[in-house]
Amino acid sequence: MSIIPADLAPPILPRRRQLLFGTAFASVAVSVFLFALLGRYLEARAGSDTWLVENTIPLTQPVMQLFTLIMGAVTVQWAAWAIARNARGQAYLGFGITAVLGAAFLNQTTFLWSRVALEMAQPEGPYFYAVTGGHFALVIGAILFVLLVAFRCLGGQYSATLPDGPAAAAMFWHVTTALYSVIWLAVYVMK
Amino acid sequence: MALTETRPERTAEVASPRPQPTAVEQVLGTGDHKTVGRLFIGASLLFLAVDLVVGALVHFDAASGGSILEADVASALFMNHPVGLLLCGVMPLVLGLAVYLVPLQVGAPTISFPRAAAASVWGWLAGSVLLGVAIAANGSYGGGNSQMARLGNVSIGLVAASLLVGIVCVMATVLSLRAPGMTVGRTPFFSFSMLVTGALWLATLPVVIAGVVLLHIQQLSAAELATGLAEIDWLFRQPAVFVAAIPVLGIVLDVASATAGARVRFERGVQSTIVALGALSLGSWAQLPSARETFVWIVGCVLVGLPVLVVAAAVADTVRRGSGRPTAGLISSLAALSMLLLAAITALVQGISTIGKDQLFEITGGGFVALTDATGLEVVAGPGLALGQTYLVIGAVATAGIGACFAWGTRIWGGGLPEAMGKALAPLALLGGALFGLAQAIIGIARPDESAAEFLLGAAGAGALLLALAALGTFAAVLGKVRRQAAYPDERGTGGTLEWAVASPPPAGNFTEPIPTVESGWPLFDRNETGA
Repeated sequence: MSIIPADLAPPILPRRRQLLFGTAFASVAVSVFLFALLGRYLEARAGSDTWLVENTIPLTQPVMQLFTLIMGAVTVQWAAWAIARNARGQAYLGFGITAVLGAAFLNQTTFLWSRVALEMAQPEGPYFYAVTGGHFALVIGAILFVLLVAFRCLGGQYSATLPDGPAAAAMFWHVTTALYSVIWLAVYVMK
Repeated sequence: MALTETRPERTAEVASPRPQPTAVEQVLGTGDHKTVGRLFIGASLLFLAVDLVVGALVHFDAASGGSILEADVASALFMNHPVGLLLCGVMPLVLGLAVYLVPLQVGAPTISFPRAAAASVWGWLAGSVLLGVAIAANGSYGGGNSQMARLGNVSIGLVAASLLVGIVCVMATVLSLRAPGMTVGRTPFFSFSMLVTGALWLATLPVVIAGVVLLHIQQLSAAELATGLAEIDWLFRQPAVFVAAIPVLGIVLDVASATAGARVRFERGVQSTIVALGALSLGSWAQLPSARETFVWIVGCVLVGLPVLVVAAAVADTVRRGSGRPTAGLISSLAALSMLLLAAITALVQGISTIGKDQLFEITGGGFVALTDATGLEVVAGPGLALGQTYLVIGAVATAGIGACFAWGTRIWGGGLPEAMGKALAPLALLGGALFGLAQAIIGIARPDESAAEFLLGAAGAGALLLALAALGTFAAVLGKVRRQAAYPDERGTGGTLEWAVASPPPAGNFTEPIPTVESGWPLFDRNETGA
């Protein structure tokens, strides 16, 4: 048992919605970043007659990746829903599955890159890797966010009275999924 | 919980005070928005002055026919100095003011995500220093060393990302940490303008970062990177260049209100005007030259002056109704507004010249990448009007920032900066900024002969030097105040917004007493009127 000195100021509780606003703004920033990269990709593709003629992008792999992220969106929302009802067991399970699905997505992406075998020296290379690599980095960020929030839940920081962290992590994951759906359509479907 | 043992006596160790961090530890490890804000303001004033001196040097070199600098050095400095002025000078200056003032204005004990705000200032400082190193080592855009050119490119990305992190902290503060009763419509004008600015930065800076990333992963040579400046060139042009200028409106309105001791009338209308300037500044869509001939672009050129005019009218009305005397802050703010009007006029001229292309007259309005050789008159005259507009906006923001340092001096530095010095620096900044921008703009419009162009380039260089002197003077005043460490009288000022309710300088946690429910945009005026 620790003894708290009487002269210590009471802890300042974090304000509600602060993290949600911060995450929303960060999501806007990364979305604009990825859309700018995608715009450059589409502009370069429109100006080329030989775009990806030497390489083949399979569609099955990106479709599976999209479903992986959508499944993650469901589980992370489940975790956020659970923590808002103090169902901590369910929340930890939801966060854990989401992180595993995120790792699976990263694995799938690297596998896809090896299948496509696009060289950076090719004209398409920088644009393709900028878009897909940018989203790859975004998913890493989303996984770290989920894990951080999960650990903070373990520490008791988030609960039904303050469910902002899990909600913010879920929001960021949803944005990541939405962005991938655009990339899936623009890069992989409309080749 | 029941205690089964006798509680031990408190030892002397428990009662002993914690070791106090040194001044260096306090600065390096701080999450206090006031320290972070001061770091931003002080460092950006210094970088601004250095960049302006570089700008002056480049113009003097061009005026002398390239006799001062070597050709490749002149080329690199010419292409990079607007980047430095905007990203290392004026944008962090307004961000620093926001990091310091916005929590005080909205009645918050701290900024949202204080450690992110600290990361923002250190990331920006590191990026700015790296950019300087790259330029000094013949790198960045237009330099001859490919490794250093890439370093300069990456450092610009780091600077832009750091500014983004900082603005997210400011925006989250405005939206989530406001005092009870303070709706978004009741936030002070500067905080409101930073919210609008933040929205625009979110739509602009990530595009710059995307351009930087693409340039970097292509592993371009120095020569290729010089043309790659086109990826971010649009940031310095109509309409995106006004993104840096939105906070000027907020600063001018708040300073006028605080100086006059009067409310600004038609508050919602004036706020809508700030939003309008934000909408007209959205420029990430106009990256390609072909976008600058569209109807939307021309409409933006024509309309961008209207918000500035409306704010000028609101400021004039407030000052007329007030009782305060002109202060250094107010004079500087009015000077900044004048320069912004001049920048809007250059936008109008660009719009008209686009409408009347091949019919009325034609102006030179190319960007920095239009340069083929930065040593001759012909080349420097190339960017002309667009570059003049950039300089005018930079001058306006710099002057407004200098004015804010004096106007909120008692809040930021404790005890305030010397008023007489501020009153001397304000006309210096106005003269410098106007000369810097107008001389360059006239070259674009009038296409002068060689001797006249030499004179105008020299005048632009002299203007840059005067503006640098104003920035350096403010930095010296700030440094003198910080080093003196005296006990200051608790000056509350005559303002009506919440930052004037805290002690000078504000204590940790900012507000020592609970803030009563806010019922208007000027809670302190309300309190004085009701006698509470």
